[in-house]
Amino acid sequence: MKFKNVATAGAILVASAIALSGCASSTPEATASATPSAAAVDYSSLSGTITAGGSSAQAAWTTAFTAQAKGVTINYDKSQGSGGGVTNWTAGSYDFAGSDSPLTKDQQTAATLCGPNGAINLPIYLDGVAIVYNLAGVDKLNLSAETLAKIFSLAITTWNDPAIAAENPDAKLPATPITTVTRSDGSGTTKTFTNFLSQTAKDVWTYPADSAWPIAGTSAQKGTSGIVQAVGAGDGTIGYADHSAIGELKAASVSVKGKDFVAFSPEAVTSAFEAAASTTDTGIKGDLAQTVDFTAISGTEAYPIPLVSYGILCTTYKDAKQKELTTAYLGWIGSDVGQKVAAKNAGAAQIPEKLLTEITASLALVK
Amino acid sequence: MSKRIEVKDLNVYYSDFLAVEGVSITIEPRTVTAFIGPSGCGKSTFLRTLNRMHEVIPGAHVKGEVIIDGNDLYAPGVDPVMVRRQVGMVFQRANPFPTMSIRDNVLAGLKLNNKRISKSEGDDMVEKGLRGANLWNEVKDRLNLPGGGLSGGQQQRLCIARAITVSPDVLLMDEPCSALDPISTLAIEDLIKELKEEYTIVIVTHNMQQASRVSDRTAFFNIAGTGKPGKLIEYDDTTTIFSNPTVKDTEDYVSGRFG
Amino acid sequence: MSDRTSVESVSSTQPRQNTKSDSTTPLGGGTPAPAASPKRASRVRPADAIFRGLSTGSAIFIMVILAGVALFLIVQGMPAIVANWQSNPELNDGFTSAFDSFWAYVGPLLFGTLWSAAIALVLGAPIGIGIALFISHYAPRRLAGLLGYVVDLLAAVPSVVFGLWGIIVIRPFLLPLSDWLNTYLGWIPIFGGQVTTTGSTILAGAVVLAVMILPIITSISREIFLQTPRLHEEAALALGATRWEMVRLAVFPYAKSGIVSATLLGLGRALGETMAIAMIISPAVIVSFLVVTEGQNSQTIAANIALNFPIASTLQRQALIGTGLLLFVVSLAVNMIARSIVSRGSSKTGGKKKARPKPLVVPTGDATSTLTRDLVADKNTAAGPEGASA
Repeated sequence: MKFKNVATAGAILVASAIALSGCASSTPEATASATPSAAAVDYSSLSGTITAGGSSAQAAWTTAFTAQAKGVTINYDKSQGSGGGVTNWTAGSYDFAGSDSPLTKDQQTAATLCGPNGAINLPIYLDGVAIVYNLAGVDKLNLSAETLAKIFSLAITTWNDPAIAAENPDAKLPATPITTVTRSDGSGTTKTFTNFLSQTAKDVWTYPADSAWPIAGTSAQKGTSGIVQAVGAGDGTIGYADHSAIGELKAASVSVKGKDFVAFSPEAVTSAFEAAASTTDTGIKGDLAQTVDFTAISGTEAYPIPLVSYGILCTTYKDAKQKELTTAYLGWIGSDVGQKVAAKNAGAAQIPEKLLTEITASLALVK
Repeated sequence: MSKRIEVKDLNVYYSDFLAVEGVSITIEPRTVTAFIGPSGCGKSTFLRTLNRMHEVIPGAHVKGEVIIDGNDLYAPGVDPVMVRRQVGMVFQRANPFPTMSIRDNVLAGLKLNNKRISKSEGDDMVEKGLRGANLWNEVKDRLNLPGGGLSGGQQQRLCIARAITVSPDVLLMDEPCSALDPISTLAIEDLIKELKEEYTIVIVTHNMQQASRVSDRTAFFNIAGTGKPGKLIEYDDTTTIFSNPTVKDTEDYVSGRFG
Repeated sequence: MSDRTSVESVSSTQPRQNTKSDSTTPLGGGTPAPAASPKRASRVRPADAIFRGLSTGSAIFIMVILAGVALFLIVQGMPAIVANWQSNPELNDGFTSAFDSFWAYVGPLLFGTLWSAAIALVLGAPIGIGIALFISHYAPRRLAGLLGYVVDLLAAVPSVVFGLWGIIVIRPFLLPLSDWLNTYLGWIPIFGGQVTTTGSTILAGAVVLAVMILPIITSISREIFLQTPRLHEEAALALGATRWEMVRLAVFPYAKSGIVSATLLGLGRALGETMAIAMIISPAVIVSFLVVTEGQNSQTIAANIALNFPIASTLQRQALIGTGLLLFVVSLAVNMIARSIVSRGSSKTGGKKKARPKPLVVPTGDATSTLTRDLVADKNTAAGPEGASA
C-alpha cells in the first residue's frame, strides 16, 4: 500500500497550497447577531484528542479552536477526501467525518457503530463552486447555466461561440479553443457542480449528479489544486473549483436563467443557500442533510452554485468523553464565531443563522 | 612492414609516481626482443608505452621519445588510436571477443577502420590471418563458432591472428604464454620465430628459457626497492646476456640467484 | 560510498539469488566447520541452526506475503470481474457506468499502463544507459563517483515530488514542443489530435516517468558495464579501437543481457508508478495513442485506482482491486522475464567468469603492469612485497 502513503504526502502539500491561497480571501462584514453564539462557552476545561478526517474544508477551524481549548488536540486528516473520511469513520477510526456530500439514508443506517439511531449530517461549511477561467484579454465573463452545460459537455469548443458572445456583448472573445478542466478524482465539488448542471440545464446536460466526472475528453486533473494549476497554466482554459482555493484566478459571473449574472461573494452564496436549500427528511432525528434546488436561485444577490460541506457524526457515542469533545468542537464550528473563523481563514460563506440554530439543537440530541 | 623502434630517455609515470626511469633502447626490425626482470620492475609498463596502451590507466604519462620509423609516438597531435593500429599487442591471457565467431574475431580490427569488406575478401583475410597464426587447419571447419570455445592455446593464437590481420609494424607480446601449457607454449614460440620474418616483435617473459629460445636480443630490467622506479639494466644479444652479462645483477637474475 | 550502495542495489537484482532456494545456499557455504573437522561432521552447531532457521523463515515469509497479496487481489477482485456490468446498479453508477464488462473497463487501463511505460522506456532507457556508460567508461573518476551518487539520489525522491515537478516545470516546459510536434509532425498519428494548452499530456507524464526510471536503469547498467573484463576492453583498444568502438566491441556484447534486464526492471517500475501519473496526466479510460492532447490520454491502472478508490462503492472498489490484480500479473511477468534474461545471460557467461581478470591477484604480480585503477592508486603497497624481495 505504498501509494497510500505517497497520496497522504501529496495531499498535505496540496492542502497547504490551498491553505495559503485561502488566506487571500476577504473577511466578510461581521453581523450583529449573536443568537447561536458560543462565545460565552468556556472551552479551557476540555481535554483530550479528537480524531477525524475527510474533505479539506473542515480543517479550517482546527487551529482557532485549539487556541482556546488548550487541552484539546485535533487530528484532522484532510488528505482523505470525503470518501476516505466516511470510510474511516464508518470503520470506527474517527470521531466525526468531514464530507462534501451527506451520508445517504442507507449509509446512515448502515453505520452500525452509531447504534440504532444512526448518524446525522450537519452542514457546517458553506462555500461556492467558482467557474475559473484563463483567457487572454477577457477579465470579466458572464456564463449562464445552459452555456456552462454546453461548454462542459464539450458542445461548445471555441471561445467566440455565439452562445458565449450573446452573454458577453462587451467582451472581445478570441477564437481560442476551449480547454475544459475537470477533476480526475472523485470529488464533492464535482457532485455539486454536476448536480447544478443537471438541475438547471436539463436539456443540455443529460448526466446525473455524480462525484466522478462523467465525460471523457476534458483535461482531467487531480484535486482542486490540479484544476487551479492547469487552468492557470493554459490559455483558453475553464474549470470549476471551491472558491476558497482559486487563488489569483479569474472567476466568471454565473446565472441560472441567462440574465442577472452574479459574481462570487460569500454573502451571495449565503443568500443563494438560504433560498435554495431545504432539510432533507431522512427520518433520523436531528439530521440536517440539505437538498439544494438550484432552480430556485434567482436575482442579482444570489450566487447560483453554493457548495455545502458536512460534519458527519453518530447520534450515540460509546465514549462520553469523545461525545463531549466532538459536540463541543462541532458546536463551536456551528456558531457565529466559528463561521467567522472559516470566513477569515478560508474565505468561506456563512451558514444561514436559522440553520446554525438547528445545528445547536441537533448537537444537543447527541448522546 | 617491420619497423625500427628507438626509445630515448623515457620516463613513465602513474600520476606523480615514477614507475620506469631513463630507458633508452633501440630495437631492430625483424628481430625478437625479450624483456626480462623480476616482478614489478616495470617491463610490462614499458612495453605498453610502445603502443600507448599504458594510457588506459588514468594519470599514466611519459616523458621522453619513442620513435618508430622516424615518427615520435608522443609528438603532439599523434592519435593513440592510430599508434595502436600500427603496433599490435597480444596479452598474457587470451582475450578473444567471447560472443563473436572465430571469423569475426579475426576481422574485428579490420572492421574498426570502417572498411567495407566483401565476403570473399574477408574469407581471404581470415585464412591469411589464421594461417599466419598456425591456426587455420585446426579451426577452418568452425569459423562461425564463438572464439570462446577454443582451447587456451588456440585462443591465444586466435588473438595473434587478430593482431596481425591489421598488418601492424610491430607486435608486442606481454607474457603471451604465461597461462598456457607447455605444448601450447611451444606452438606459440614456433609461431614467434616465423612471425619475426615479417614483424618487429617485443616479448615480455618471466620464462628465461623462453627468452633464450625465441629472442635475438634481451633487455634486463630491475628495480632497486619498494617505491623506486624500474630501470633498464642491460641490453644485449640474448646469448651475451645469458652467458656473459656485464652487470652483476643480470648475472644473478639469469642464473636464478634471485627473482 | 556510492559504489558500495550501488553494488548492493545491484546485487539484489542479480541472478545469483533469483530463486528463493538460493537464499539458503550461502548457509551451506557458511558451515565450513564440519568439513574442517570431520570428526564432528554430524553435529550441527546451534548458531548455524538458528541462522539457517531465521533465513529460511525469512524466505518463506516473503513467499507467504506474496501469495497473500495475490490471494487478496483474487478474492477481492473476483466478484467485480464476474459481475454483470450491464445490469448491476452499483456498477452502473459513477465511474464504472460507461462499461459493459470488467474487461471493457480494464482493457483501456491496461493499454494506458503499457503505453505510458513504453514511452517512458523509449525516452529513459537510452539516457539511462548513456549515463551508465559515461560513468563507467568516460567520466573522470571523481565526476563518475559524484554522478553515480546523484543518480542514485534520484531514486530517493518521492514520486509526489516528481508529480509536482511535472505539473509546475515539465508541463509548461513541454508545451512548445507539443505545439511543434502537433504542427509539423501531426501527420504521424501519435502527434495528431487537438494539441494541449495546459501541457497535461501523456508525453509530460512519460517524461517524468523516464526520469523516475533512470536510477534503476543507470545503476544496474553501470554495474554491468564496470564488470566488463578489462581484457576484452584492452583487446579492442590494442586493435586500434576508439573508445566508442571499444564500447561497441567489448562492453555492449558483454553487457547485453544486463542492459535488457535493467530496462525491463525499469519497465516494471514505470508500470506501477501511481502518483506522478495521477497528478500530471489528464486521463480518460480510453485506448488512445495520442501523446500531445489533453482529453485523449489513456489512463493507467495504478493512477486510476488512486483517483477513484475514495469514491468507490463496495463493488466498484472490488473492480479497482481487479484491475490491480491485472497490474500485479503484468508486473510479475515483466520482472520474471527480466530475471530469466539475467540468469540466462550469466549462465552463458558462466564459463567465461573464470576468464575474467582478477586484477588484485594478477598471477605474475607485476605491479606496474597491473591493469586496474585501484591498484594504481595503491601502487606502493602493491609493489611492496616484490620490491622487498628484490
